[in-house]
Amino acid sequence: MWIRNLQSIFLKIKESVLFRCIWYVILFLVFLWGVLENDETGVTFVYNNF
Amino acid sequence: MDKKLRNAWIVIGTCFGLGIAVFGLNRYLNYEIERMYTGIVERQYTNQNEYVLKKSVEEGNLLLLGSSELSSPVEQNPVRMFPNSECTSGITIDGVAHVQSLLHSMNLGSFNKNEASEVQLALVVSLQWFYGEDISSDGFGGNFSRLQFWSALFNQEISNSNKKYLCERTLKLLSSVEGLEDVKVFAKLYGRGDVVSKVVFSMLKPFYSVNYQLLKLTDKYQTYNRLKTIDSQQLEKQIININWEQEMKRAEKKGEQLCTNNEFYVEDEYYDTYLKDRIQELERSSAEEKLISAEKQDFICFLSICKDLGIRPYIVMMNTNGYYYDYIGIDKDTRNDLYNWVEGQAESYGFDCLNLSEKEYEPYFMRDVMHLGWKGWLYVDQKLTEYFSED
Repeated sequence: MWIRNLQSIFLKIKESVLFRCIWYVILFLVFLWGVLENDETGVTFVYNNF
Repeated sequence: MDKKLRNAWIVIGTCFGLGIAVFGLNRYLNYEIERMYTGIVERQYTNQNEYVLKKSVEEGNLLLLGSSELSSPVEQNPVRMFPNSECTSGITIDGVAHVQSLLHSMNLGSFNKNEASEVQLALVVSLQWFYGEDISSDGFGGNFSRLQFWSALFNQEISNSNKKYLCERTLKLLSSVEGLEDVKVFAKLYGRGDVVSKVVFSMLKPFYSVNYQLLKLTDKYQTYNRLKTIDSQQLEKQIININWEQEMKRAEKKGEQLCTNNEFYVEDEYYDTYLKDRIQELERSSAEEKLISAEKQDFICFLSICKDLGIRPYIVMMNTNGYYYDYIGIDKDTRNDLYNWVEGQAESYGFDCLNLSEKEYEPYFMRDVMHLGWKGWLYVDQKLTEYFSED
């Protein structure tokens, strides 16, 4: 019984607007992290042992 | 809830959440960079990103742009000589091999007029930049920065003709380089200027704007990552006292010790590695070189962009090793023509130029055949000190 209740609560959360928004934001942040980690600017620091 | 309304709320909520997340990340990076920032990053690296350049100007540093000579390991390298008691500005060096006028022009694109008025800038120009018919496309592609390109192209203060020139040159030089398709499309559309291109360009502009903002954030993130790796225990810049005469004697002595096995006054190690085995074939090997590369137009573009932005660069026309260049057949007249041309161009824009042509035969002025050495860097340090302490 409690599993069913939990399932219905989960389904409600999953369908909620807030959940969707948070989910899309997380997806975008993962994408952003990928962008930031890749050196896309083209400028690399060149180290000199002065 | 109506499905359309629900979807609209999801879109609004997601945008709002994204705004907060990106704003928060940006604030966090600003805070952390400010906390960790150290001038060491301006001197230990010879290729700087946009954030460090801007920060350097904010701190009143002298920006020294150039190419491979900036990596010269001699003790007299300017990173060790600034700030000094006569010129209290710190120094930020920017440039590696193959970074020439065109890339440096884009480099300045991130400054607006307000910032530019504070910029103290010197550019070391090498004779080798003007070899052949054009600059190396591999060298250009390898050092090309999307962010600097967008910064220059989105800068309202750079004239349209200079932007068009940057696009034409970029398109030409990147044509043999793989990737960077978005840059090529942008440069092609911007350069054409017909109605169809303008319409397509307007349609793509939001994409480029978003890309530009993302690159700016990436630039900041890279600075943050770089600063994390720097040992905060290292000493910050300290103002040093220099006795130029004494230092010059010391530089000469050092040169004498290290140049002993050749007639060109080239450091022994360099001679053994790069010249010794090929010395016969090098004789008059460049006799046909006329130093009329497209770099000349790029240099004029650099001067013009400086003028657009209100920056007054101090041009240092670096000499070569006269003994060696005579040997490979680029005669003194050809070299002098170029030195004088660079000086003339700088002066025609109202900028000052330090022409080092008279130093071509001074022993130990150069470390090798083309890079400033013990006496050379010290002399340039002294001249930069005099020039920038006047302001």
